[in-house]
Amino acid sequence: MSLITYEWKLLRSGYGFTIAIVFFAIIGIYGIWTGVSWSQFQKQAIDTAHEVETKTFLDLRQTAEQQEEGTALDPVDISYAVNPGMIGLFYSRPAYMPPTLLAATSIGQSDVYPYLFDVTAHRKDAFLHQEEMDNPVNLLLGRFDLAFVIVYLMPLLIIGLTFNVISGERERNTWKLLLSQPFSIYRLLGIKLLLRGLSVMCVIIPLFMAVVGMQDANVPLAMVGIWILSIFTYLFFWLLLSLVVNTYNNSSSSSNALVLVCIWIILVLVIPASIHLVADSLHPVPSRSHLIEETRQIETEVRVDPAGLLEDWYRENPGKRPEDFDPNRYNFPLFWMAIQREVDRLMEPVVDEYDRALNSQYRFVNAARILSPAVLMQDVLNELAGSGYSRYQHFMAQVENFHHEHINYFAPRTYAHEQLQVSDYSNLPRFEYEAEPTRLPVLRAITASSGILAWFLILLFSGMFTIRRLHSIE
Amino acid sequence: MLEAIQLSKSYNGTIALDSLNLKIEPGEVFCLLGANGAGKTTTINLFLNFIEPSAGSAFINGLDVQEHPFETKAFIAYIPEQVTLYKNLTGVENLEYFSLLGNRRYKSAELYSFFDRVGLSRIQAAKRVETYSKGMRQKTGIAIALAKQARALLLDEPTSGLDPQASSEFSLLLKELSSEEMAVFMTTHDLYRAKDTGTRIGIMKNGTLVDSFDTPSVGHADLERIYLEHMSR
Repeated sequence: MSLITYEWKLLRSGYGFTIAIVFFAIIGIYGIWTGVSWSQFQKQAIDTAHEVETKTFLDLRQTAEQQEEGTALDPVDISYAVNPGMIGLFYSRPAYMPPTLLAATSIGQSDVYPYLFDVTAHRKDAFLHQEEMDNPVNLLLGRFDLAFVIVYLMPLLIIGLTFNVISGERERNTWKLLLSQPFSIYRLLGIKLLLRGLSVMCVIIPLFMAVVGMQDANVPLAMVGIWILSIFTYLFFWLLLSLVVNTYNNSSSSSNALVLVCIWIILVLVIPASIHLVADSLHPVPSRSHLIEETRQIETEVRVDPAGLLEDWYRENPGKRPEDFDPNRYNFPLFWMAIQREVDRLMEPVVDEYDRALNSQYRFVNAARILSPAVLMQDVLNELAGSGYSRYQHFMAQVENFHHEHINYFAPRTYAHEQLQVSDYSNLPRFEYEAEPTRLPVLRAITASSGILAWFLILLFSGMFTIRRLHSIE
Repeated sequence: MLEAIQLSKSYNGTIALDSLNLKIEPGEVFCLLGANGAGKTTTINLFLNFIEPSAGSAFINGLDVQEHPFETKAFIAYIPEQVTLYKNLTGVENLEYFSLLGNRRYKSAELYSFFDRVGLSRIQAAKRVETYSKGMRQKTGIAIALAKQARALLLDEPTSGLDPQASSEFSLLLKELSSEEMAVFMTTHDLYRAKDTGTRIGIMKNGTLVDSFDTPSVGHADLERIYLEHMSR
């Protein structure tokens, strides 16, 4: 047998190792199942929204066709089908962010950030903040997905497998016997740590490759590469940490375990939570109730004179004022459309304030994430899974643009009392999600991954003194 | 084979070993006697390069252990007071494991032949070490030294805790090894065993080698008297 075979045999000699790895594999599979379920749920929700959209607008178009042919019977349906105000306000268009190919690996904040909006010509906040107005810069405990298993539980497993890699030999009195051999103790420890690390990776990589294999399209190789390399870097960081803690001569296995678990608590729980708290304190985000209150107040003020708003528009757009426009007769879609646009305009500073605070929080968290390799690892996984904040921002910009496009299509037609024609149905604004170029999430993942590498190198540099003295028993 | 020149070690001003000059030739069994804390284990640790000397040098086969840590370790085998091997491996597996660490690769039959030489049966060698007595573990330690083809043996109180029969068998084994030109350096509290096994005896007190003489020149009673005289000074 080779030395590696013996090390493997020694590693497996107790039941603990097998139980830990099997348990880790089971929770990893559960994590994948959670992720796959979530991404399938998202896909189904988007597909359903598309189906409803297609059917609704097909029905409307048929009604409009019947009106043009003079065969329509229900005047209510007709008024809806050709009225741009009613369609714009009450027939929503889904704006969606589809799950990426690696979505199942990290749900990230995708369960906090909305991925599907029903965009109408109503004011922005009516659909934009319908899901969640609380602080979404939530880098803490998310769902039990593969990312959770990797970021939170993998270090614990590594600690469990390595906390006594040297102290155990000392306690068994085999350490001096090993040191007396003409064999590099660093090489031997390297074999011991690598075997433990690779055992963990032998669970994670197949789970990841299973997700990759489940996809209809090919996952870009760069993404697969960065994903695996980042996990290795994170894994090596924890292996090295355990080695450094083990190198202190007087440390016992139990004290090593205690120290390592304390470091885990600090790096994985305390620092991310602190970053979050400090971000909240430095850049507080206005609450949902504040936004609702402001909106109601503005809406109440605006509703006093919607006709005045329309008159302003007609003055700016000469020739668009319908001959039958009566400012004293309440025309629902017309007046409501004008009210919504004005509320949106007046609400802009409030929403901007919210966005500014959110972006400030994000910038702070983004800068402070270097304080914790766990946050960096979570970021890498989120970026590659498309569940990070940057992709969400990219999506939100598209949603806002589409909302403007939607309003700019329906509002002028509503104000001018123009009716929709059947031919217009082919040109109605429709949301098409524009995916980010692959290089952007890859670059963001590389940036976060570099942070983990920096942690590894700093630890290697600072731990070098004790590691170099390993051959000594002093 | 083993040589110490002005070898010294102190810890925060406390002298653990003071200017030791010692030479152990192949075929020689040097038994170092001394009370606890006399500096016996420190001497072994210095030869094994486990600790750095404060002054002087330790040489193995003419090589400074600090300058040539790997080369010198290839020449020596170390047997501590408690040979604690990997209890989940069998004796022969432990032997193969340590042989691999000593850059030696053997076939199964060859591995068992080392157990034959130290007087452990093949059935015993195939058993897990957790079932071994201390004497069997010490013998396995010797088997490891043989497999390593070591030319010097460093033993730190190897017979302590062994029953008389196991102790006697162990002594015979050491004599056999010394007859094959192996240099043996053994620390012990056991005057009888030192006299019985050693070709030369040293007495160490407070880090200093206070006496050294050839074993045939003293009887058992003389040895005890000399030792106690040194200890009472």
